[in-house]
Amino acid sequence: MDPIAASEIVKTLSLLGAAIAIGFGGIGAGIGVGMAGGFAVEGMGRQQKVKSELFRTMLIGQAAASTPPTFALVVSILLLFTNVEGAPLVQGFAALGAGISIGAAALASGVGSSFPVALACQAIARQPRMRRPYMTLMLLGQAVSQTPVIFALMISFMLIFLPGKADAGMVEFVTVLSAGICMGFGAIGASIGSGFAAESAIIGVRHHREPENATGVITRTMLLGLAVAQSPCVFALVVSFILILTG
Amino acid sequence: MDISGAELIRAAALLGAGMAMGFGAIGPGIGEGFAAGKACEAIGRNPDEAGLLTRTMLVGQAVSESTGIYALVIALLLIFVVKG
Repeated sequence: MDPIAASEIVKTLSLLGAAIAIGFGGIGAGIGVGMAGGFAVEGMGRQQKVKSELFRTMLIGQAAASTPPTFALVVSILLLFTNVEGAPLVQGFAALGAGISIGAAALASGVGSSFPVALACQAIARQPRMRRPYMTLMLLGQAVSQTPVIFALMISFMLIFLPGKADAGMVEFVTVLSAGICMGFGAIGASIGSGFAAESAIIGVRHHREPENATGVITRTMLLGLAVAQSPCVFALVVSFILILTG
Repeated sequence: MDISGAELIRAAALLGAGMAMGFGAIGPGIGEGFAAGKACEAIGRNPDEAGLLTRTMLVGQAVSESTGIYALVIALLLIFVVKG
């Protein structure tokens, strides 16, 4: 039996990384987008007058919530087709790290950015005249909820495209893997937390006695809270950078 | 490939750093988002107390942040201080 070549191990690990990226990355949006659709249907049943409004809100929100798995798909395809000819062994571990990073982040961001869609559909069914502010809050919350997944995408690209040292040993293998784990799992909390915050901001506007005047103060509070909630994810990004650049 | 004991320790420290910060960031992220959301809900119900509610939200988030900072400190210690 021929001994296994380094490039074959790199290919194996890249394929595993590709599977982790899209396999886990697809879970969150799958659940979340379905949940958003469910709330939209419920709203249509309650208020048939606004069904086209609800349909539009649902579709826009679902499209935005499907961005994280699209990132995961991009990374997955990159990992499937990268050239491993003569690649050093460390590139295989970097590919696995890239898959874990985007897979875990996309899972959380898919769930997190679907919460506001569900609540926006519910709120528009009850207060159709407020559809614009609800849509704005929903999109704002989704955008912030997807910041962590963009950090994770950045780390994945760095892991895939930064050239690995040919003489890398065990320490380098573990470092790139660790950078991927750090960013991927570090993104989970901030994504889901931001989703909660945006969801509750919509509830807050709905319960206000003059909803038209409530959006300003509630949007400000939401953005302040979201900015603080992103900080753990930024710590994870910093640690990943340190691991990639110094390790 | 030969692996020395020092390399093994260094590798474990770096993997530990990634795991510490990665998993350590989950809790404060969810918790702070939750606090922000509840503050928005409360302002909706009681808009006159917006200032107090925002302050309380920030204090709660700062306390929740502390576990994330512990994770960061441990991760940095593992990267820069632990030598094999």
